[in-house]
This record gives sequence, structure tokens and C-alpha cells, in this order.
Amino acid sequence: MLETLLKLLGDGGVRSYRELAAALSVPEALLEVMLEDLARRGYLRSVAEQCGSKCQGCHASLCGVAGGGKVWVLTEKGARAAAA
Amino acid sequence: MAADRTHVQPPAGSAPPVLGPGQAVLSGEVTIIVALAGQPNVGKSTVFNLLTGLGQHVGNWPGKTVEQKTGVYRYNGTTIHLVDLPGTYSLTANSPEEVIARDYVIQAQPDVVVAIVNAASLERNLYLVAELLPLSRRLVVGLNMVDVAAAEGVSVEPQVLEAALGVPVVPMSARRNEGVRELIETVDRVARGEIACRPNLPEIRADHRQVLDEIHALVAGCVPAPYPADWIALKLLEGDVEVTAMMRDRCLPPERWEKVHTILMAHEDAILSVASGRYEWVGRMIRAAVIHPRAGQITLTERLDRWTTHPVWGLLLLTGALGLVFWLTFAIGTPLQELLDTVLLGSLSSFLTTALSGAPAWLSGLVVDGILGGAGTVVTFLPILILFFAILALMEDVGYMARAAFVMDRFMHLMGLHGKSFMPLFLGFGCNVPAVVGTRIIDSPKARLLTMLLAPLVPCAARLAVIVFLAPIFFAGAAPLVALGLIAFNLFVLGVVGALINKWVLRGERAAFIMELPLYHRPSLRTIGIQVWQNSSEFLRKAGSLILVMSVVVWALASLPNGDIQTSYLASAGRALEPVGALMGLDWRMLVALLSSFVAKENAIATLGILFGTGEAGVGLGSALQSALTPAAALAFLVVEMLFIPCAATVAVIKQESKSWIWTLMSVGMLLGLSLAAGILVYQIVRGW
Repeated sequence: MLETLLKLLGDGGVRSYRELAAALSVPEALLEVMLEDLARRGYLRSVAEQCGSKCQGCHASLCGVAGGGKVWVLTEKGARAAAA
Repeated sequence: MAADRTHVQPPAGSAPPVLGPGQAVLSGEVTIIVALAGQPNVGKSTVFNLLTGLGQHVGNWPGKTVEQKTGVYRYNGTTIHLVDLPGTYSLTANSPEEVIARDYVIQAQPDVVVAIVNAASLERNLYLVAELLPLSRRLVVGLNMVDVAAAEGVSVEPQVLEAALGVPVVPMSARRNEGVRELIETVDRVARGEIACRPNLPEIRADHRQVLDEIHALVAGCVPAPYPADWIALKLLEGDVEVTAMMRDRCLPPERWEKVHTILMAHEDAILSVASGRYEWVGRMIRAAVIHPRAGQITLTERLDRWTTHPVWGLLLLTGALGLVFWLTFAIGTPLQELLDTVLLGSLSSFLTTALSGAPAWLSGLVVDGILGGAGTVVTFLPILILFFAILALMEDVGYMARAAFVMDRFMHLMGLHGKSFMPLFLGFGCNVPAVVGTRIIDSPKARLLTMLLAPLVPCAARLAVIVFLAPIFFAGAAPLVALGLIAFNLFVLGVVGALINKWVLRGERAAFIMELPLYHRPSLRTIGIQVWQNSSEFLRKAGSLILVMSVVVWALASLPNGDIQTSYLASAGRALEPVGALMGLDWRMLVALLSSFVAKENAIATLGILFGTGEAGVGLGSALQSALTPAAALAFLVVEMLFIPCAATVAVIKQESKSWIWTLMSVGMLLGLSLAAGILVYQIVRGW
């Protein structure tokens, strides 16, 4: 299932939890657990890691842009696994 | 199995137990060892405290600093020694807690293991159960927090889950002391052999099953008791650090380890396969036993998302939403700004001119023309900003901004910009500084540097604020369309440059993003209020510091050496640039305003306020600008402002992140060239119409 998830991500582009959960026939909550697991294993990285950098000069912080939702991105390791 | 309300009285004065493997005596007065396992915060400690009360013994696990809690409970002639295992998410050697929990289950071999799970989030909890099942065939699942699950609209069918798992499942609510007695009764019956456990175990992919068998054959006979050989083989395949070290260093002869190692190296992907097997198992259990949340809320979100995330309709909706943001801002905010500008600023200017009539001319000029005309003018667009930020905060709070990001990525994808560069670039809509910092998610140094070059092309909030202020002055009713067009033009330039970079530098590398689209919900006035307050106070702080200082500097340069702006140092410097400005229909004052925006984008307004003499009573900046610029020149100015060199803070962070002056200067040079070329092009085309 994790391999299938990585393969889906290997196609590139942006995917929503709902799309991926439907493709894997699992609830979104289980998909989220799997994403966290993949992140722990180094295949994914949370974009929210970059939060905390706030521009003093402007009027917005980094994290609000995604509307409070989580955003994940494939790491090099994840991209290699997806391409395998 | 219904959750009847029963109350367990904690035993008083029970002696702390001294536990070890094989202490159970299952005859006459029965003594058993029961281990409580579960994730953190599932109510495991509540169950433990409820049962053991004052009869607890608290210490540390041998050789560890992790707390160990044990206690005794007596039920129906059975003395139950309870061991509260550390809260863990799995039984892989990821943390000391996980090692302690699994070592205890394997080495102490408790008579029964109780897995406490949270009924409201079984998806998160069953993975641990999947890991416990191969280690303890006498397992009871305590389905805790059924009341919380029901309140959240999640319904779990215990009998179905029991049949699917193959082990007893007891619904309960520990915090209400419901179902705990049934849990103990079930544990007692399992320990006595009255209830048999026939667990359905997770499986792994068929090809990896073969690999597992090969490893199993190689380690057989070398696995120290009481470790199960099949579990050791599985953990080796899974890449478990502790088990690998144990088998390599202490158990397997070197030649046999070499064989195992060779197999493991050839099947690195098996790590995922083992975990996948467990997730598939969890998925099956969930599908069988969980009836999912309130259909209404999900349906509403899904129904809305069919439109908001649609590749075409979603983009049109986003355009419409942005248009509405600008229209509302212009329709309500601009009249308020004009009122502040002409009435408040004008009155204040008249008052200060009169009050300072006896003071030296330079002081009156500094206060009225410099501070009030510059920083004061910037402050007048506070109503516009408050509205702008309030509407954006509302869109974010209801959950729409995540959809906007989602649909924007698809749009960028169509334009060929679909690398990892997208997400940091999208962050640039808030502010270019985190966009540049956000490029850290890009692993390739070359791609990262190029994305940094692109980041300032994203119209940040400060640039948008300047556009929101100036567009209605120049274009009145057409201002929302012009503002949208300017954003679209920036994105077009960004898309073209980004696509070229993607094609030639990243060579078509595609990157994936996964976005959570939260449920739509009612906006919270408090959240919106806080956001508007933070943004507005930040803006005022900036107006009172950076913009104020710059206003004074611009005023001084525009006044020296003889008080006449036309012969000032600033005019001399500005006129040197006029040949370029003439190509865009802009005089030196507009060019100086552009240059001053390097310090902070809003400075362009402050500088225009000073150079167009809005300090005089009754004269608004708007009317002064309208008479000074043709529509073609005004549009060219806005285009240049949108594409111009970013603010000093962004340039500084580009230097910090790129660690290269060459890249920093290249970024500044590229944007300067690009913005001027676009400005000239727009002016020449529009003028010809």
C-alpha cells in the first residue's frame, strides 16, 4: 500500500488527501497516518517544517497560505522509491 | 457488546508487585500478569489508575529513565499483576519506549496483553495492534473512548471488529468508568482459556513472503529464546536497528549473516512492504467495523470541492473570488481612504502649517511635507488594508485558501511549472521572504538558486497593497480588472520563466505535493480579528519606523540644497534616469518612487505623497497623480512596481540563503531588466491604442 502511494506520487503534481485516499480505498485518516509514517522513514517531508520564518517587513506568515492544511513533498529518497 | 455502566473499586493497600516472566499460577488462587499496551493519550493510564488505585508501584524500567508503573487488582479469585507499558505508536526500535514495550512483551511473556485503542481514531491505533498480534496470541482489545467516537459521529461495531481481528474486543469509556469491569472479566476468561484467540495476522506481499521464508530459514536455530524466529525474520526484513545489531553481532555466524545481509540489500523495498501489509490489514479492519462520520458535513465539503478544486471551474472561481476581494476593497475601502486623505490628513496638515507658522521653514516642511505627506499618506490606506486582510483571513478561515493553493498548482502545472519550486513560490503571495526561505525544500542546489530568482516575481501582500491603493486612483471602476490583470501578468511572466527553467535546468523533473484540504467550517470572528489586528499593527509599526525614516530622507533629499524640489539633489538624481522613464511616460518623481520601494514596497506611496506635495490642505494624492500621468503611463508604472526589485529584506534573505553575492546581484539585475522591459512594452502598446 505504501509502495502504491509512492507510485501515485511519482506521477508528480499536486494531490489532495481525498484523491489519494480514494485511489487506495482507505479513509483519509489512515492515509494521513501512512503519510506520517513515510515522513518518519524519510520518504516525505512536511513543508510546515519551514514555518516559523515570518517576514518582519510584510504582513503574512508562511503557514497561513495553505489554509491551515498540511502539505507534504517527496524527498530525494521518496522520489527514488517512487521511480523504482 | 453494550457498554453497561459498571464501577470498579480500586483495591486499597495492595503491595507493589515484583514481576518477572512466568509468574502466573493458574490453579486455585490464580495469579496472572497483564500488560497494558497502547499509544499515548488513549486512556491507558486511566484504566491502570482505575484498577490499581493506591496499590501502584512507580519506578524506572531497568537501565532506562522511562517510568515503569505496576499494580495489583483482584477479580473473581484472580490476582492480576498489571504492568503499564510505555505509550508507543509501534513496536519498531524507533524510541526507548518502543524497545521497552516490545522487550517486555517478548521476554516477560505476560499471560494477557491488553491493547487499549481509541475508538475515535482507530486508523491511528490499530497499527500497534497489528504489531502486537504476532507477539502475543492472548490479546484483548479495549475499545476505549466509544463515547467520544459517538460524539464525533464515528460508530464502531465491536462484534464485527472482534470477528475481523480474531481476538476479544471490549467497548469501554475509561473516563466514565464504563466497560472496565467487562474488560477485566474478558481478560480473566482469556487467561483461563475460556475464550480462545484466533488472531488474523497481517500479511506481506507474495514475493516478499518468499524472501521472508529465506531469511527465516537462515536464522532458524540461531534465534535466542524467547524471541520468535518468524518475528526476528520479519524485523530483519523491516530493517529494525536493534534486531539487526543483535543478530549480526551476537547470534549469527559471520557467513550466515553475510547471506542474510545480501538478501536484505537486494530487497530494500521490503521495508515498505512489511509496513504496507500492516496498513492493508488496518484498512480491512476499518472497512469492516467502522461506520464513518456525519455524512452531512462530508457531503457539504465534497460537494463544494467538486467546484472549488475543479481544474476549470476552480480556476474561474478563484479568479472570481480574487476579483470580489478587490472589488469589495475598492468599493468600501477606497472611499474611506479618500476621506482620511482629504479630511483628516488635510485638516491635520492645515493645523500643523498654522501651528508651525512661527517655526523655521525647514521644520514646517519636515513635519508637514515630509512626515505627514510621506508616512501620513501611507497610514491613510489602513482602511483598505484592514478590509483586504479581513477578506483574505475570512477565505483562509473557512478553508478556501487551501483550495486556492490546490487549484493554482494545477494551473501552474498546465503552464509547465510543476517542480518543487511551486510551493515556495506560492508562499510568496504572503511575503517573498518566506518564499525564499521555503526553497530549502528543494534538494538540488541549482534548482534552489533558480527558484530564489523567481520568488520575487510573486506579487507579495505589500505589492498588492500598493496596487490596491493606486489602481482605483488611475482606473476608477476598472480597478478590480486592472488589479487582476496585473496579478495574472506577474503569474504569466513567472510561468514562462519557470517553465524555461524546468525544461532546461530541471530537465522536466516532476515533483509531487500532497495537500490536506480541511473541512469547510464557519469562520471564527476572533481568528479573523486576531489576524487583521496582527497584520494591521505590523503595518502601522512599519509606517512608524522604516517608512517614517525613509520619508524624512526623501523629504531631505527633495528639499536640499535650497528648498526647491525642482532643483533638489533628488530631482538631479531622478532626472539622470529620465531617459529610461520617458520610454514609459514617467517623470523623475515616479522613478524615484519606484526606487524608494526598494526599502519597503509601501515607500512608493510615501515618496509619491512627498513629491506630489499632498501636505497642502485639501489636495489629495489621488487627484495630483491623476493629472500627472496618462493611463498608459499609469499602467506602465503599476506593471514595473509589480515586477520590480524586491524589498531590501527579500534581497538580504536571498544573499543569506544563496550565500552568493553573484546570485543576489543577478536576481536584482534580472528583475530590474525584466520590470523596465515590461513597463516600456506596456506603455508603448497601450499608448498606441
